[in-house]
Amino acid sequence: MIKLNNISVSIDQKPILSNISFDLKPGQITALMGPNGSGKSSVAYTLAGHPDYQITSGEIIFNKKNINNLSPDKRAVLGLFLANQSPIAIPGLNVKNFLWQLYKNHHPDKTLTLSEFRNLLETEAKYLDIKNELLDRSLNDGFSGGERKKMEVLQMVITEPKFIILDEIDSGLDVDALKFISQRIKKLATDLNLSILIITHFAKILDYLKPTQVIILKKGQIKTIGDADLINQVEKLGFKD
Amino acid sequence: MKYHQILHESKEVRNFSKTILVKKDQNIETETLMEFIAPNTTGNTLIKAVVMPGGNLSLKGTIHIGKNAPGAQANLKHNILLVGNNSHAISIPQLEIENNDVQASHSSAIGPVDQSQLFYLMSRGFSHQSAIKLIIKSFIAK
Amino acid sequence: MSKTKYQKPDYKYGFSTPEISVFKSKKGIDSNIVKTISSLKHEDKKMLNFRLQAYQYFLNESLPSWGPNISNIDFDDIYYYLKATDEESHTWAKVPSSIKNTYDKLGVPKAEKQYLGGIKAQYESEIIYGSLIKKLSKQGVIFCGMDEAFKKYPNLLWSHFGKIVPPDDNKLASLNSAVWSGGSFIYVPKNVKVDLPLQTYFRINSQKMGQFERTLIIADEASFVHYLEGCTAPIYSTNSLHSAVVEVYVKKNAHVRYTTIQNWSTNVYNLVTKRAQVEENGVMEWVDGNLGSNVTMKYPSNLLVGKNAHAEVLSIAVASGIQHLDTGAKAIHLAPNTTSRIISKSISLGGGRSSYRGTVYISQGATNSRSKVVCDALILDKFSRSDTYPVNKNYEKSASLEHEATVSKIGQDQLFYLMSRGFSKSESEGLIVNGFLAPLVKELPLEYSLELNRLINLQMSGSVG
Repeated sequence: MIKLNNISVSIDQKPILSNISFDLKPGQITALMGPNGSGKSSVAYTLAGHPDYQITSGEIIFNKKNINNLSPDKRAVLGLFLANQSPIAIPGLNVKNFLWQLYKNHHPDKTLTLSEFRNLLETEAKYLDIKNELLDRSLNDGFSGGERKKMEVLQMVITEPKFIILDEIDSGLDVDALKFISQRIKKLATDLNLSILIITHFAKILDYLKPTQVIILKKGQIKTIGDADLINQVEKLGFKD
Repeated sequence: MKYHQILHESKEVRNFSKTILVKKDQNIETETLMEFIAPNTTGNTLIKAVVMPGGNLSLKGTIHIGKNAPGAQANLKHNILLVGNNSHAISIPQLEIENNDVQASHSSAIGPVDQSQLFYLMSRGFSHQSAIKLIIKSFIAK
Repeated sequence: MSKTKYQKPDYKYGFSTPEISVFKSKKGIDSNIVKTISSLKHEDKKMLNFRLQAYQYFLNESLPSWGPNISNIDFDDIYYYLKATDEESHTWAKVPSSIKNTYDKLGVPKAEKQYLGGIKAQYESEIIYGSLIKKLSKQGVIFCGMDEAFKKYPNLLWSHFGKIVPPDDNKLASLNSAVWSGGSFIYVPKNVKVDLPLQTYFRINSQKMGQFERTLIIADEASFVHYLEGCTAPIYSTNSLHSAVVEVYVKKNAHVRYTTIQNWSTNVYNLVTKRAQVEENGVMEWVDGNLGSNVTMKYPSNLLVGKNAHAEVLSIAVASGIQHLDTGAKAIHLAPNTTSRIISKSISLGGGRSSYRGTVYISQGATNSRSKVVCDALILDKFSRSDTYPVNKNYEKSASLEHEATVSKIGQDQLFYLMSRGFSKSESEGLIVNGFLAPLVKELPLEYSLELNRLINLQMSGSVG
């Protein structure tokens, strides 16, 4: 599904990631962990094609295609979805209208009518415990941290991606919210055979979404790649060697 | 008084602030101009003023960001407290922006002594006059 | 929507307008032209003298020394009076292709295209117009052309006309006072609330929005009316100078909303004086959308003369290409407890220049008054420009006057976020820009807001103008 071959990345000519190599197969869940400042979010932004992140060497292969030079929208259309740590607000952009546009963009051949879509939205919102009135407001404008993250998951459900990156989606979430979100993602993962890269500090989310591969990042480089057993080690010993 | 600042070096940072006390029956006119003509510059202008009864203040402040100043960050603030009868203030904050890669803002507030602050202090035993003095002091200090 | 061409009066509805033959004055202005205009309209001596005096003021005054450069206006190269069934032998062929393209892209049907291009008259409007007029006259509401208003209600007119904007107010107002023709007169009696917005579109016995329109609205105590003028689709005008004057009386406890959308072709100088006088507890709202013209200078002004009076100005300006839109608002607080709120949102792109120009003056004695002005500007590219020129005067120690302005480009984080959801760069920019304008656009009637959004997206994608 997605493969990073010796990726090195700089911001403003300052190196932040070096020689990152790993891959995810279709349906595989991978956890990316590491201390603060290790570069985990940088991996996420690089994969999503954020213009500030310059790939200085290596290649990202997504579904057999080199996507190094693809703009973020082209990557999104190919099926890459980044769930942000702090989703930004866009005042004046009505949530319902935005989600409808999103749906149309990602499903050019689908036949849901507007009212069928609205019903789908309401069902999903209920499932995620998103208050209905939020759907009539401006995207993320004045939303709590938890509400914003649920919005990200709602968008995931609508766009039906192939590969999702969860950038610390668990931080700042209460126990219930974490449960709703994780369960919804899990169902989506099963339905779509999704590859998931989970970036996290805390292992709690990994109880719901169990990885088969764990990558530990430190100072912009991969320290270790292992299986789920690594999680226990991290919990006991932290990130020191 | 006129103050003219030009940010002509790349990445230059300029902070200009002034506190003005306009005394009873005094007329004060102050004008500032901050010009940004190099890339990635940062300039902040903050003028605070207290206008006593019968005082007249005229404050004009201009931020001009030129075509060759991408990455500029500019801010201008006028914060004016009108203390008594016949206090008059004019604030003219202007922005002229010829480049889109900028963040420019200005704000201007000309307002009264906060009545709830005044009441609070007086309820703590300060006379009206002393309370006003305290409020003016903290306005200038903040 | 916009104005029809002059049609012969429809006697079925009981309006009669004097027969006016086809006439086109020669170019330029002098006192003879002013006299001819007055006589063609069969006006009385009072109006003739008013015009002649105004013409003298016009000669003696100079153009404003501030604002966009309008020194290029050649006052001698303009027709000051046109009243005809065939205004300038318009043909569809003569309408600029940029405007034709816009209509195509907006999906405007063929008949409407020709109408908006200034060709055909709208006959369908008669039926809507008829029933509206019946209802209004039952309520005692007067809604007719200015020319007609003077004939029918001279006392009412003369007690209000030219008082809020006197003929010597400024050079362009003097010009308008000398050669004005057309425009709307609205009178709403006490306690009457007109629930349907009144539009110039409905006054089919007027020519299309003229160069020197004069509008007068009198909202008597505790009444309500919403007046709507203009059109989002571009209007092609061969007249290069449009200088209208609007006077609004908001009497005690009354409420008036005045919405304007203009999208004049880019050969037009649009210089307008709009002013309201608001009495005790009155509310005046201006919604002002500026999309077109070469240069626009327009600052809806509010004289808050009665206590608790409130004024609001919501202003949108989208300046592209060679446009310089110099717009804003004024609020003059002359009584206690008065409030004003001015919100301006502007966009500059493709070399356009948008400037906010405003004045808030709180006079001594306007105790406990409050004013807030917020100006936000987006500059979309490095060729465009944005300015803010506010003047804030507070002479009252118990009043508060606040003003904030920001100028920036489209937020990169917002852009990345939308692109990461699959929207192309220009789609993302369009969504952000529409979001930026949304709080003001939602104050417009629905069909205007939809068209406005589409029009802005078209402008941004560079496919028109």
